[in-house]
Amino acid sequence: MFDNNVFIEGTCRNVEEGGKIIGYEMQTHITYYRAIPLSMINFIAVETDGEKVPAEDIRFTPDRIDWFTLAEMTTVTGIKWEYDQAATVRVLKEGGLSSGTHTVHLTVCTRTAYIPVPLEGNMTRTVEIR
Amino acid sequence: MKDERIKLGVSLYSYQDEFFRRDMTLKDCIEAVSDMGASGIEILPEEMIRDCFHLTDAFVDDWFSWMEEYHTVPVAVDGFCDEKGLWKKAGHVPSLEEAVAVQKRYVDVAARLGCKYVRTQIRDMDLLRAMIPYAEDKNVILALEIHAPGHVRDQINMDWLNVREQTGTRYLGFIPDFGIYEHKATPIIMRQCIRDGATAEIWEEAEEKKAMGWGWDEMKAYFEPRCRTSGDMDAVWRVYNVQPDDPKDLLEIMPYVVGFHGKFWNMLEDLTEESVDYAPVLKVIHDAGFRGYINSEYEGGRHMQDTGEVRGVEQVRRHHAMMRNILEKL
Repeated sequence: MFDNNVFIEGTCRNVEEGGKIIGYEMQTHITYYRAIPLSMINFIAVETDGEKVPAEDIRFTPDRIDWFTLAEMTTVTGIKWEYDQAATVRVLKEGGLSSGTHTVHLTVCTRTAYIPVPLEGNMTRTVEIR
Repeated sequence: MKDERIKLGVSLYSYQDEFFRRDMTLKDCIEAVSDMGASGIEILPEEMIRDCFHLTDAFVDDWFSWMEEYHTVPVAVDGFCDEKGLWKKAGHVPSLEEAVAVQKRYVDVAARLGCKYVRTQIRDMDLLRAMIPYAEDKNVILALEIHAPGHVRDQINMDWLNVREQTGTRYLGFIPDFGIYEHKATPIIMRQCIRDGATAEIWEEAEEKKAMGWGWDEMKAYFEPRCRTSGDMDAVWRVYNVQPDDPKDLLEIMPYVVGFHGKFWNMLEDLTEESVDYAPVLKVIHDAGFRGYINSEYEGGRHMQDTGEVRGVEQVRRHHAMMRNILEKL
């Protein structure tokens, strides 16, 4: 559900820091109809070229100011991911994605107390890295 | 106008797709309500207002200037029960004080936006009791939504009435949601379940078990290991949800009903709703002298985003036309 909210087209790119490519990232909207604090995100998962990215290599930020690991997010009750805010999911991987075409699958799953079925959204995109 | 006794409004939730696509701003959403000749505004602050628990004076000024410009009325704020989810993954059980702090924020937003009631999901009687003095102080009613698969006569609603009686407060009420009159699994959702991989076998078996009177916990325990796709489990939940209430039961709680959610999933071109029969319910509440708002709540959108553009404004327009047609004949 809310699949169309997941993985904004054309946002996947390598990330350079200190002259080195440290990984890649993409932007996404929330799989829900309202803002929730980060502790209520059930999970975020990335699969690239058929390979699951280890959870500990994923970083998340709703605002590009505060960055979190998935484990850290479980206690973040004061920072919200707004309904219409494009958040960033970053994968730490030395060298990032190689030049050429890749298939990247992003899953965003939120969970609230009153809906018994989690709101999981999925999107696969073919991305071109130059 | 014959339908003056029942007032029509819109939960702006109905326009979430237009808002999300940036086709419409919050101001545009309010204009759309006015444009149909309706007046009631219900809002999910966490959906359409950034940093909604720290409202600025400038925003509040804008809000009331829009109400004046479009001749609309702030009616309700929709709250949630995040105290149950905020610390869940961290394994912390919130104290009563922590839960109260979460819930007070909705009362605060409602008070600042001039809304008379908060749609609340509070189901804990200690939390409810703790919230009453605050609601009274802010002059905002706490209204429990009666939502599918629940019913008017459910124990939780009787518990609320008991607390109301014991405390003598006038600040507790109900919001019945028309979804409790859904008489068949909504086609627009079932079609989505099938697109998401639901199988006919699971669907049929879910209908069977429900007919045997199974509760949700039993359904969940039985089906979760058997479901192979997300569509399967969703189909089970949707089938389970169809437990139409008797509209006449509303008479027992009508003095405490502050408003209705006009839940609908798909308004057809002939101005009928695919799975909720509005006429008998409207007759009951009309005859009982209900004078508050029915706020349309369109929920079909997110079940068809993968097939085409969601048109909440048009859906709500049809919904209001249907309700007016029915009300005019009463």
